[in-house]
Amino acid sequence: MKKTPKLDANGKRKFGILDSISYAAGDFGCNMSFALKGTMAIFWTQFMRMDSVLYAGLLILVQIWDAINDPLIGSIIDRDKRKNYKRGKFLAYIWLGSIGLLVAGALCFIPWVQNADTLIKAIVFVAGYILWDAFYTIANVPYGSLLSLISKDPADRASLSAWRSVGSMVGNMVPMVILPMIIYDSNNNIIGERVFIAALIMGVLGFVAFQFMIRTTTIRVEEDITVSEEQPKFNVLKAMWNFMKNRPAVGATLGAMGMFIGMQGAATAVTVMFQSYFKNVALSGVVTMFAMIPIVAFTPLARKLVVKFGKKELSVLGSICSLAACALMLILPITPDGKGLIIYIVCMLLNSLGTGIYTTVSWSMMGDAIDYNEWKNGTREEGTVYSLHSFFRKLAQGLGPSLALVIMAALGYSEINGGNQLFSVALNMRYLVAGLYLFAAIMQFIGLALIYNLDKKTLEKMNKELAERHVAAEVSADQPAEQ
Amino acid sequence: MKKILALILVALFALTTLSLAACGSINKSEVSILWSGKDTIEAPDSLINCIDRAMYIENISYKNYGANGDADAQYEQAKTAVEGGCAVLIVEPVKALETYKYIELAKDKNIPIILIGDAGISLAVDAYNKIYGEYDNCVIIRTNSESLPTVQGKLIADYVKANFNKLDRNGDGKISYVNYTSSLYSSADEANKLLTESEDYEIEIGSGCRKEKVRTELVFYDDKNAAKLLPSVGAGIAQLAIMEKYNDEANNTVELIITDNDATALEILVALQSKGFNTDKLTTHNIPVFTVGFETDYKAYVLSGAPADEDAKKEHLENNKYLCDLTVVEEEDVEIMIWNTKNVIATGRLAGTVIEDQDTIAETIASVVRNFVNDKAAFDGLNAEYVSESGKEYLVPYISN
Repeated sequence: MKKTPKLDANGKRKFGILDSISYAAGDFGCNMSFALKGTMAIFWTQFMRMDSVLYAGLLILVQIWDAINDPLIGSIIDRDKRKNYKRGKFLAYIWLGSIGLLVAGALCFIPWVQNADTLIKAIVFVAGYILWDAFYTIANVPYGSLLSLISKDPADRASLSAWRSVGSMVGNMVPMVILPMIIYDSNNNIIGERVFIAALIMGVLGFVAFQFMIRTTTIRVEEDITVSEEQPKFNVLKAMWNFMKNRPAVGATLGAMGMFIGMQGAATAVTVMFQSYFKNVALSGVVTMFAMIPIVAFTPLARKLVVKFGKKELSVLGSICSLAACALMLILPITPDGKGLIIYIVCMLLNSLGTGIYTTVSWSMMGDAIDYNEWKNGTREEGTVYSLHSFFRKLAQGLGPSLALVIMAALGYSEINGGNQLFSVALNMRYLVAGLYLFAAIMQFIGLALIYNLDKKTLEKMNKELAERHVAAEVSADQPAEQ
Repeated sequence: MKKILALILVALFALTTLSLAACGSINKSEVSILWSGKDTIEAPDSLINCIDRAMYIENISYKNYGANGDADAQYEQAKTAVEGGCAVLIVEPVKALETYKYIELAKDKNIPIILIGDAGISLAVDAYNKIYGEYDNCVIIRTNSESLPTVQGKLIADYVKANFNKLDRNGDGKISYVNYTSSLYSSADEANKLLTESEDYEIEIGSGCRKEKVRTELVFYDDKNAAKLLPSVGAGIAQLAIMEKYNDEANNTVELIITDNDATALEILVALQSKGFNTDKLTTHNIPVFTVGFETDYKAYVLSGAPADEDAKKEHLENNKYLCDLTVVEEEDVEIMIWNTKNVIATGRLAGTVIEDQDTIAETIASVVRNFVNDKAAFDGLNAEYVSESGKEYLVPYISN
């Protein structure tokens, strides 16, 4: 006998585990294309034989476009006021994005232009990236807003947010572990054709996940949510100046930038390190996944620890943990054998724990930074603060890999020799990895410990005063009505 | 919170101090390595690069010396190293016959000596021992040349088993082959031992309910050639002549080629490609070529034939792009580009090669150095199967690629 779903007061299916899994499937779908981003540098430099410095330059260009692309597509979605969507506007755009992502991920890895002119390759790379980026944004931006439409209840939203992380983790981990085992040959050289096929397969898996999400999502909130913050007259310089005066915003942004520059910058160097130093690139995914274990174990405890110690305190401790781990990574004898690999893994475990502590609270730290603005200046400027924070994060995501590639080339990395670099170059990569992670940890420490100024005490004081102001404002708003 | 931070910093400091103290570097005089050729590290697959890695793992400080083919210069280098009090002397002699000179030098100062090279070194050391008696601290580390037919034979048998349907162009159930070699070993015989006798090498053909297991074997293309081999000198011309008579039209194409060095494989490949094989139509026009070694520089071969005229050069490079596609390499990259047999195998135009296990040789050298410095037996802790009967040679088998 078919089970009748329980209904809420509005006749909608009651919120339950299906909603959480459904929402998680969405982020899984997004990551089925996003997870391949880490392979791009190796694919385009070693397989496609594009010059590393040229690739670094093109990457900065497309990342700048990436930062512009988000608010652009967000405003297109916001301006779409049509009401005749079968499942709602946001699900319709996610559906559209999912169709594009079937093949868009693979467009970034077209192997048949391997022997074409440099100009052709550059055009193919940029065009493929822009197309992928567009479809990804069309799916991802409304996906983020969907959370607000599934439920109004804070506990439900917290559950959706947590399950989103699960979907993201699974979506990242599976390709992270499996891909290095199949896209490299026995000499640790990348097989471009396999990357293309893997991207296609992942596109299909992502599409299936998106369809599951679209068909099982129940919209319970009928609000007009805007995806991008509308600024009547946006003055870039003024916005930047206000942002720079917001000390917690600057501190939290610097922390995030450091994290992206270091960690995303290190990604390519890590792959080359596993290719030529440890001579086992198939292990790289397993090691990275293993290193995520501490943060997976920490996440359920995050809330309690934040309440007890405070966000700033906890994230500073995390950055010191990362600092220590990265310093050890630099100093300890990480030799290219089993012993050295174990030391590297232990250092990575500690480093990712430290970074992970920060990432669990990073977005809420930005929320506090917005409250700080209101506390000090009387205005929130939510949209400006969030969009500038996102802009700097994206810039760092592009700058990191680009800078790292330039440094790698200066240290002797020759893309033309693929996964078979001289040992002296491989050794340079080993130290570069540690150096980049250390740089990330130092920037995080500076941003969070020295610039971000909302410790537990100050935060409590701020929240108390803001609450008092809000109550006073409500009272004075009621008074004229009484008169 | 401050106490926790203080504890972390103290722990970090202590750990750093301990780890630095734990680094057991060899603090005595350097190890000296005397090479017969250059002392610069240029190729990732070279023994000198593998030793760079192995010495780093063992934390051994060392210095390379290159003789550039000059035996006298090498001897002077050896004298300098020995008189300077090097911890261990490692020599790749320019002339095997002069090996005894280095042993004498080392013996005189009681310095351990490791000799690296080919089987000629072993003969030279045997001769020395018979005349002067054995020097206890003298060992040889080299490739076991006798392992070659076995390793290459298995490589071929594995390939035949995996690709039988494509290989058997005329459908007669046998694989005809030609063997270009200057030695008397036969990898084909070793491959046939596996293909005809081993249970693991039965080949499954057919599909569905018509599946059956069969056996195949390599058959020399010319039954009048009792030795079942052709000389590797002039192999390219010989191969062209064979293809005139043995081809798909006559339904008797030679289906597999074995060579004993990769310079010969290059000649064969040029011949095959001139007839449309082993180019971009690998699914239908591929004759597997097995070889030995990987050091042949295909890029140098392609460039050596390039005319000076720009247009003619472009055409030349285009015609040779299935050996090494230099038409798409930036000019500044041509110098640093490495394109050897391994790269050609990766493109599918050669089937496989057998190479010296440089990594294991390098690791062995580093381990033996450490054993000598720690007054242990030379091959202590290493694979006993590779130690010769005399106990003075470490013979590392070939590996396939």
